[in-house]
Amino acid sequence: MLQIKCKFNHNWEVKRLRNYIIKRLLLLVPIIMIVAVIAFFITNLMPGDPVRVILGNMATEQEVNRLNQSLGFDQPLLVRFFSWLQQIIRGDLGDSLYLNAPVAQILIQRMKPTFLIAVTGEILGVTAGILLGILAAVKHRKLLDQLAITASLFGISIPSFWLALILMFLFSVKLRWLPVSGYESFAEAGLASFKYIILPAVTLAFMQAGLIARMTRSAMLDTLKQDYIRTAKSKGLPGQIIVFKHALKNSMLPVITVIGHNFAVLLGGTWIVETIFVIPGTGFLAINAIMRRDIPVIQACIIFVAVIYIILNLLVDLSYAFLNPKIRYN
Amino acid sequence: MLNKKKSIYVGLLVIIFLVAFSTALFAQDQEHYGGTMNAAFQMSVAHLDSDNSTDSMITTMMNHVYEGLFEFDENLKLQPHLAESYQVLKNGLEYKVKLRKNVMMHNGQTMNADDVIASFQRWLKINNAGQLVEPYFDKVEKIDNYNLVFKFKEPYAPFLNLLASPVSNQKFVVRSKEIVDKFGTDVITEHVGTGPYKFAEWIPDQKLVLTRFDDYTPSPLEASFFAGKRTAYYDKIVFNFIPDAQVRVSGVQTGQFQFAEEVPRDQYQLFEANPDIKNIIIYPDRMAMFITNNGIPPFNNKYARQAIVYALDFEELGYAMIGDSKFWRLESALHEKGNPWHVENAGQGIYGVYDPEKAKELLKKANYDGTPLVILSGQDNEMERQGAIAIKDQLEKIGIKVDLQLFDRPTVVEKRSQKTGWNIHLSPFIKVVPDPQIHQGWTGTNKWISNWDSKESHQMDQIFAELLQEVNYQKRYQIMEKLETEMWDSVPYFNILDYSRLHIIRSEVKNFKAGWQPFFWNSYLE
Amino acid sequence: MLKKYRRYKHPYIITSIIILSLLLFLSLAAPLLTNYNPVRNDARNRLKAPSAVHFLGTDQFGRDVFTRILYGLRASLEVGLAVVFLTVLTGGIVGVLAGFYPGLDKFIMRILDALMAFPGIIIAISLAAIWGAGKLNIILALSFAYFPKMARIVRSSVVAIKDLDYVESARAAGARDSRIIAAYILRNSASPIMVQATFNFALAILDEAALSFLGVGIMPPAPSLGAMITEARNYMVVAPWLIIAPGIMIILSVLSLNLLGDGLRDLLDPHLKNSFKK
Repeated sequence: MLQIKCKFNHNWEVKRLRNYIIKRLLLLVPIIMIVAVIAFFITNLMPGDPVRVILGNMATEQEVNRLNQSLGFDQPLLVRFFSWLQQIIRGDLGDSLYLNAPVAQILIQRMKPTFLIAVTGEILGVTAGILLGILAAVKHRKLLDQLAITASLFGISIPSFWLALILMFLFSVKLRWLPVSGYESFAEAGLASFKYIILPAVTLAFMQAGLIARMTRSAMLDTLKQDYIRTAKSKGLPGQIIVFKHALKNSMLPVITVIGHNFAVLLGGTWIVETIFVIPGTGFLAINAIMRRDIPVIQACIIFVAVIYIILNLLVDLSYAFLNPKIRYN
Repeated sequence: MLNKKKSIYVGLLVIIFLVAFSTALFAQDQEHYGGTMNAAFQMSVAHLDSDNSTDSMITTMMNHVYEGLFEFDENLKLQPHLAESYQVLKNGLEYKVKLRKNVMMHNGQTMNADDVIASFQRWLKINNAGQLVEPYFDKVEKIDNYNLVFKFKEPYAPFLNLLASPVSNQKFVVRSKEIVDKFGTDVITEHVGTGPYKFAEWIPDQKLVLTRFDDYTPSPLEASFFAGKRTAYYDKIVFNFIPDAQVRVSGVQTGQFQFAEEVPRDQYQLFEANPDIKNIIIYPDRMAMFITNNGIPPFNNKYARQAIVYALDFEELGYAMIGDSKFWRLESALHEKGNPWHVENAGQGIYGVYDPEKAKELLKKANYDGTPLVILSGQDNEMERQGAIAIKDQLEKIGIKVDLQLFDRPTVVEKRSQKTGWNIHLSPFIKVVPDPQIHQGWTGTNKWISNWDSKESHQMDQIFAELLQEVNYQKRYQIMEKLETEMWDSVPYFNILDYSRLHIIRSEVKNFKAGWQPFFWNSYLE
Repeated sequence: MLKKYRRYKHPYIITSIIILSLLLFLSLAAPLLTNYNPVRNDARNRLKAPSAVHFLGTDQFGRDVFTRILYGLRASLEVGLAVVFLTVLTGGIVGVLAGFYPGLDKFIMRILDALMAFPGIIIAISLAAIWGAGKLNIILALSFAYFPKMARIVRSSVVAIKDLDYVESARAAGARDSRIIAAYILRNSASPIMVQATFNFALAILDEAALSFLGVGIMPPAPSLGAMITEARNYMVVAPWLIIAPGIMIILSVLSLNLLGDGLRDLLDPHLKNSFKK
């Protein structure tokens, strides 16, 4: 493991890495295109008429036709698709049908709360998960290991919406320690803004902690079996140092992968958690947009999650490339 | 001399006393001012332009910003509001309206006839209530800055009631001419009205913030619901949009909100036991309308429609749809008891008579072939959802096959606008209506409600047209009775029951009056 | 060492199989275990607390919660099984095609990459919204959401063994593609498929509940554990049994399936224990 530090001594290696990055970036183009196509057709094939939602129950046929025309919904699907595609390529996500504002602007506004709860949830989940994983690995086959395994199993088996409701019931309704819902930005409320994100973040953290604990445990167990750990042990290094300095460091690769892959899953989770806790983030926006068929907004939210996932995956793969020189870049 | 001096002293004393007394009085009144009303509402809105939507929530909020020429008081009587007085001339062909003078608008100008005319023409053109009036309407003429006259081609009896309508978005409100000219028929995003509060901030899906309008010119009439003097005690009113009912409840319990709209009725006892919270039941509030698709079999046959009334156990529906019997009561008439249009004994012999055998007989008479009945209903409205599930259960118990389709709003709206594909639909209607011709009495042949065009529907149209022309109340009431009788014979749709929603408010809020749309002027925090 | 490891791991499989068979029994024997009909209302007896008559109380329509949980569990297991079947089928076919025929590989992999860029729940929500609520639609939506992962797993195990000597020699001996696929490849990728299928089963139960929670799941009044939780939201304070009972049932079934997945993974393929779910 100590060789890792001096892996980019050779120019050709740097070059190869650069080529690899370029290749991966180029590969993003077709993937994002396919993502966009899927997003377009998913949203446009949904039943439910956005025009009638905007106009309400009592709207006359003329009103409906007029609005359909002005929004371009009277055009054939394929014609709409190609004009939408041109628009997307220009970087224009269109205007919300419902909120009277450009989608890009709305999305940017709504990203902050989402990232705040997602990142807080991720930090909580990673911390708890790694600690639990280490505990399990170090106390392998002891009672603590069993407890840690059970806890992590619970983490991945509890439906997040149920957990959210139960946490809300306990901490907000019964004990009244935390507000039931809502959100205030850090700029508005300062540190008090955190009381709004604790429960949503903890809900999101549960599954992450479960997944990460399981991964950390098995990766640690693998590493602890490796030769160099045995060497370190035989050299008489204290147990804690071995665990934290050597074993943990080497178990990080698979753990990082899990974190990277599952951050997007966590973002998917925000769709439900934000809806329950009324956090005005992208997930709440997406569910609301679906409920009123605000097509451009749904498309943008779907593409948003997908693009985050793709970027994170790229970063994970690149971190692999950096951390482990043995990986071939193809 | 001494006397004079003395009298000066006395005079001074009196003045000092008076000043002290009046400041004390003033201070006492002043005490009520201040604070923020944080209210939690269920549904968010698309925008704040009532003429461009059918959403009653817009009117509920913007009632604080805009005012009508006329408003209803708590006895559902029309009162002039921005108007000072009015006259109905030429047997209902002309309405002469005098406006109040020196009414300040939020842009610092005073309201005059031009503002009213500009707003009215917009209302006439795009508000769907305006569109009802439009065929009968001739023109509006300005006499001078504070006098105008509305002229009709044919008499249109409900005109004034419609101008002040409490139903969804129908009310006519006065906006600044400047703004109307600027936006035309587009959605208005700048708000200049005459109300006690002015627009401050709007975050879609999250909140609307209104702040007190210091130069507000109140009506000289006594305060009574929407009519009369409005006093803005709160510095700020915040309308928060909170879709989850439990969240709204807990917000009030913890003091995060002072008011919450539509909370779970089953928690009534809990709120009752909580000294911090007061229950508000507005009764009657809504009616649960049973709507059939009369354009296609089996409900294109009168007997099938009658059959369905006999097939339902209305009382059990009450428990299933609404819950505690405190919150609902059986009512066959379109207008509640106490309303000038209430018709006693409407639907006698058919409404509330649970007789499955008779239902089956009538269905046979209607040649119903046993094709499953499709109930199309919304997921998002509790009454619709629970009602649809309960109706399916009841019909299945007596051997009628039912296909229940619960969808989210956009899908329901789309599917219901189709001529086929559904048989039964539930819809909540506003019950408190001051005129039978505001929105629900009869919606007309082939209109949104029943996809229905037959001899019976034309008969209804005719009765309704009579009602429209008649200005005399007694005669109109008789026509109304005829309408109810006809409705319970041909059953185009019917009221299952009246029900009420439950709102809660913190007990430190004083002088809150429970109107059919919640409003926050005249109430204050203690 | 390995033997000891296996023996140690067996309790997982045994425990989970015991719980799962118990759940299966409960759901299959529901008509024998309860006298109530899961969809018949008795609204005059709504929201009754648990008692001898109603073991877990009644809901807002006066329906017996215990009965609805048993039938709801049955629906969850049905959805889970069907999703497993469909994902193995479609994932298997696509995976074998991609792994076995290099010409198709690039094309299929790009599409799978794009599909996997969406969190499964988002694809499922969108598809369920398109097709409308209903058990069949949920099954299709979830299968569509999960199959790319399965296809990838199958593909990688196909790629791993396709060039091995004994496959090569079988091909040299004139075996047809279909035979090679059936005889060697599928047999060898059975372990990872089984493990992934078990996890998919668990995930399907969770996601079905989430979809029903959002109102795009199983159409009411048919019992669904997720929809029961949604409906219970408004009664959480006055009737907490409505929300607790279905939640515990979901956790129990998902937990035991995950446990089984862990056990199977360790038993069938110790090399796989570094791979991870999702």
